[in-house]
Amino acid sequence: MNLWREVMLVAGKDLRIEARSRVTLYQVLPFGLIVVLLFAFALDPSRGVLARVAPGLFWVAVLLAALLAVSRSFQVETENAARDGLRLSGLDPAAVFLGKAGAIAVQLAVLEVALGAGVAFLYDVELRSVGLLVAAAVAATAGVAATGTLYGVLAAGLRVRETLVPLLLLPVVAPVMLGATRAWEAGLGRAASDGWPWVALLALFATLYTSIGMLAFGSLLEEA
Amino acid sequence: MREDALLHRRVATVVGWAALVSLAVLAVLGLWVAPPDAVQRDAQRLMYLHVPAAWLAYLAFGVTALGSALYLWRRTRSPVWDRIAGASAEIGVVFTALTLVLGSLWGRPVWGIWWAWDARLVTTAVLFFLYVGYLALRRIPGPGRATRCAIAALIAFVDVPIVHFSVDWWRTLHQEGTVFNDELKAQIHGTMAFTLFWGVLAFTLVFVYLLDKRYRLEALEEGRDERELEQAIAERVASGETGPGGAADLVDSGAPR
Amino acid sequence: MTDAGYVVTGWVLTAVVLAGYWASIARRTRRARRTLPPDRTPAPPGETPEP
Repeated sequence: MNLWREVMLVAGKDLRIEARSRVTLYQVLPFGLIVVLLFAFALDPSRGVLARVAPGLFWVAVLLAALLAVSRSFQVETENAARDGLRLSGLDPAAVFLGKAGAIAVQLAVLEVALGAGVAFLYDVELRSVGLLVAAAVAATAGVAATGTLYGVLAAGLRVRETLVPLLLLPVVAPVMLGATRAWEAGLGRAASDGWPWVALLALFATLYTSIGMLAFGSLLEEA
Repeated sequence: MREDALLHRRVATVVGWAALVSLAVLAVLGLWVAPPDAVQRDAQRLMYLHVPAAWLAYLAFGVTALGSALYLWRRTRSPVWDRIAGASAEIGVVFTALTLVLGSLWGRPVWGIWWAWDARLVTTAVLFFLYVGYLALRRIPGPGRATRCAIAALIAFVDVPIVHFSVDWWRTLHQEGTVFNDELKAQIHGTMAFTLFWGVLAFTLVFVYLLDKRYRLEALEEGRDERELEQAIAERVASGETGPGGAADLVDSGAPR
Repeated sequence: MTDAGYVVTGWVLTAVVLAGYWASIARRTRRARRTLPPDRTPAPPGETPEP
């Protein structure tokens, strides 16, 4: 089986599990929306404060939700010796990595559409350049999904997985936070500077960590 | 050498004393011999510690990354590199924290603020958290520890320049960088430059000494963990032979598995 | 605090941290040596049988 088919196989498995269990839809998505709501309690909803910081708050909410999505992605592999199954399946580890990261990315994309609508609705923002917003979101999501999958498998067999992965993941994806927010500020008409260079940075990050993931996933799966 | 170490014991002692003496000399140079700076006045004297500490924070991280890479590469795989990586990381986190605190102590009298959002400070803060994550990972025992930690170290190492670049670019766009950059790039001459150089030298000796010392500890603890594991296995086997429910019992009684 | 106050704080803190960290390694090393059986040389890795 070629790489692409294996990737689809793994991603399809994860997405089918989600379709049946609906954990991302009924738990992670509401969590994201609650975070968006909480920010409004923490900050001043009047006087345009929320509208100004909306891009940043959106991406913080996405990042926190991503932690749950990553955790869930590897939670499903703990039952029925599923990890052993992956190891013994003969699938290329790089394909397993891409498949799992891809499934996380798809779920995050759905999340982002919903959270984006929530933010636009609650924080009163205008869409200036949709192309920029989408490009930035795709690149940022790919980067977060790749890095999350990498740390997810690294911590897969460990008891302290739940508290460890956030600590490991968040500092590393700080540049994604930075770039995505700056790009969205430009895309929502809230910054004078160009957002596209930030998209390039996000794409670089995504490419780099996807490559690392493809190389390292095999060794990490062996140890998990 | 009966203990596994990086330096011969006598060499380590010499390095240790050299480090101590050079630190004492640094204190004399930094607190007395070097003149106060024209702009920063006496607060400049904190630079003689802050810059070397920052150098060490990043050097230690480099050593951890190098050790991790050499451990992962099959041709050089050895527990020595894993121990070096782990030892260097602990030293690094201490010096990163020290760098941040000294930076704040310097920033308050000179800039009037405890913290600033420029690339150098933010990257060092992120570095601190990357270290903390690595050390948290290191505390988890098991046969896969070395590989896990090594990959985590390299993931983090690759991230540091990205963080620095992106924050730098961000602050340049906001044009707040200029004031800080100008002051930090100010030319320093003569005694002050020499003292700074001496500080870097002294701290490097401190690093080598501490690395060897911490490495020995790492090797000892590994040995202890292995002995504890052997003991636990031996106990389990022994109890299996005499206690109820042991495999030997089942075999003797002919009970079906 | 005067400038001198910050400087002194920084230098004293550095000395305390360096000494304290060194002492921490020393203390942990002593403890590790105590719990090791009389033969000081740790068993080389790879000889421990898999459970």
